[in-house]
Amino acid sequence: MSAAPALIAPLSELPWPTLPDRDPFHELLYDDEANVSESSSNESTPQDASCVFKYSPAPVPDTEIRPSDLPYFNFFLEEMDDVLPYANLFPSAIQGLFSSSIHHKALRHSVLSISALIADKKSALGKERALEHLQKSMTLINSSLSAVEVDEGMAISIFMLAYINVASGEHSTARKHLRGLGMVLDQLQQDHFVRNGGRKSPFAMSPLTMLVWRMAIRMDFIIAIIYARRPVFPMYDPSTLDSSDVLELHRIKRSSTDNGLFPLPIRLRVLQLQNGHLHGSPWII
Amino acid sequence: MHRACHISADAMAIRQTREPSTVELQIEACVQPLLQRHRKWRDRPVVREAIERERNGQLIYESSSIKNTGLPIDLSAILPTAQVPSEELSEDIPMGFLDYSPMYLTNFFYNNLLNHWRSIEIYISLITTPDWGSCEPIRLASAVELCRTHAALGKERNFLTTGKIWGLHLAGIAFGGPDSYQVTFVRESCSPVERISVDH
Repeated sequence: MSAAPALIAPLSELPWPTLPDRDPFHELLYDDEANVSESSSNESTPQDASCVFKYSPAPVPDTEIRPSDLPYFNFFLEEMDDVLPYANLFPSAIQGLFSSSIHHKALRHSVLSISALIADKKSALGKERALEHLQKSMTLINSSLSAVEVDEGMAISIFMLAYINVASGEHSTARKHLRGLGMVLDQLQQDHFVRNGGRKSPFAMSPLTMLVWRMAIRMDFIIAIIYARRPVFPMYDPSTLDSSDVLELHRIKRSSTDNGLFPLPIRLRVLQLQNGHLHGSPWII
Repeated sequence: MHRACHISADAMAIRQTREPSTVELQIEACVQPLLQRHRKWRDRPVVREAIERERNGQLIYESSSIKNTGLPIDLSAILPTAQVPSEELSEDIPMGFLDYSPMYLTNFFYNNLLNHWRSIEIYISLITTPDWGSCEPIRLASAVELCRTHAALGKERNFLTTGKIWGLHLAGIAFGGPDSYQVTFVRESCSPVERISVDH
């Protein structure tokens, strides 16, 4: 009798990571000028799929990543869609997070920390590596905050830190991180609002960051319920939206569709599992 | 749920700081709009479509049960063939909850969302009446339906998420705990369906 397949494969059995062909969010996270400056003179056309990765910013070198850490990246890609909320419904999300971490040092350490925490728990290796990366990520985030350099990678990093706190039973710290995340997200929106001449835009934040925001809201109410506390994030009330806001939401939805976070994979995945499927949006906010 | 948590925190604050005579009216005034908005979810076209599909699936399941009993009516013969459950699924007998009739689910994704919706409904009802085991018909009905659906989820049931655990916990609160229901687990060897024997 064969043994039942393990829910999470042992770390030693995981292959080394292969980078995705394309970072689907680089257009949103980085402007075109930055890409041009980093492109070589004999670059191929953007239509050449094999060379698409050239147009992303160069991976940030990091001598603190040991070869022994590399399987944690693979663990992240292979297993995290069963761990992070909604990730199984948006299959591109985990790859998007990983791709973004290539260009963002703090996020990379957050990715390694969360992977190490879960993978090493399964293999009883302890929290040492997870805490090491957590410390590095927090140091990087703190120095960015001190320099008032706020970006989406930092927002996602903070969410991951909060997730690690929840997984470690440190809910009070998780709430502090969520509060910080809320401030960073507000700042990102405000920055874009100013850059965009005081007009709202569906491109203020990438669909990936919006999804992470939604994950954070879920985490927020779970902690609020457990500790009978008020949620950290403010209440979203659709009745307060005016007609222009509603129009904006529709634009954001279209933008999400254009940028890879679209419901079609969900339908396909659902269809594979059962004989019913839904058209439209059934989400409960 | 996030909004419900905010209103719940408001209710806690109101109960601590205001005159008891007016407190419940104030809380009710906060909860009613929330409840109305929550119930609108079931009016969404996509959800209405899913409800209809589930109803058809249940009808076919029940009709196939009738066929097995030898009665002359076989509804599957007059219903669209696309709606007939696959062979693999029809062999999978859904688990029942207590003595309630088992449910046949056609769409696990929708039914998970529906149970999440029910758990929010129970949670909202607890804001105005924070007593476990109080005989609120809607709360009790939501709890029963949540458990029936959970029992019928099959393999999906075994993949426990925070949302599912939270929903079952709220159902337990709605039922009122061991003072209201003495619950023991009995596996009946003669039946293919696991059942929970309840003495109350």
